[in-house]
Amino acid sequence: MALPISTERKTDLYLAASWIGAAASVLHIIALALDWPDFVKGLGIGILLVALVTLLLRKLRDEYIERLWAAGTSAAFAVVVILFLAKPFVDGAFGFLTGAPYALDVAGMTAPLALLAFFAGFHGARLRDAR
Amino acid sequence: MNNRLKVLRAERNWSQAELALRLDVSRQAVNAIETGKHDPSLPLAFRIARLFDLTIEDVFDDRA
Repeated sequence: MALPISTERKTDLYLAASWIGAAASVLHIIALALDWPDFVKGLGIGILLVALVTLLLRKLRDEYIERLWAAGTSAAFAVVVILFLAKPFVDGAFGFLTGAPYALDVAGMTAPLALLAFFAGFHGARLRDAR
Repeated sequence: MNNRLKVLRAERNWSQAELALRLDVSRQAVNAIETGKHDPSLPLAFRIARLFDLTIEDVFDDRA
């Protein structure tokens, strides 16, 4: 039998998952950028997955948390659109500057940057509300 | 949207956490509504009004 959890506890759990997810997302991007050892990359992804599964549980959200979720998903969507639209220009600019064909790795960049944007949007809205 | 939630809560000596418990929302939600950062959904606005035995118009004012 599942124990009832108060809305306050659910929110605390959700916000903790959002901070842990943000930290894991940053760790993952730094690990990719600096080519850190595989176990560090794996650790970042593992923590991120646990946080993301928690964040996807709608029953942990009340309507205010839903608003933060919407702010995060809007930011992530904007990043996906920007990357999609910017790819030809970035490819062209780098190709012109280097004199060699260049292809931006959109597929590899989109997920980590969109996740980072989600957490930035989520916590940005929360911090704006706290002022 | 302006609202009297903070005043109504203070009149009853309730903390934000206590009001949140009575409304079944988070303390952050109560704080966001009180400070005008978040407009509650219609069901929550009804719950708030009923809790204080008032109408929605008595608690919330959209003519700001």
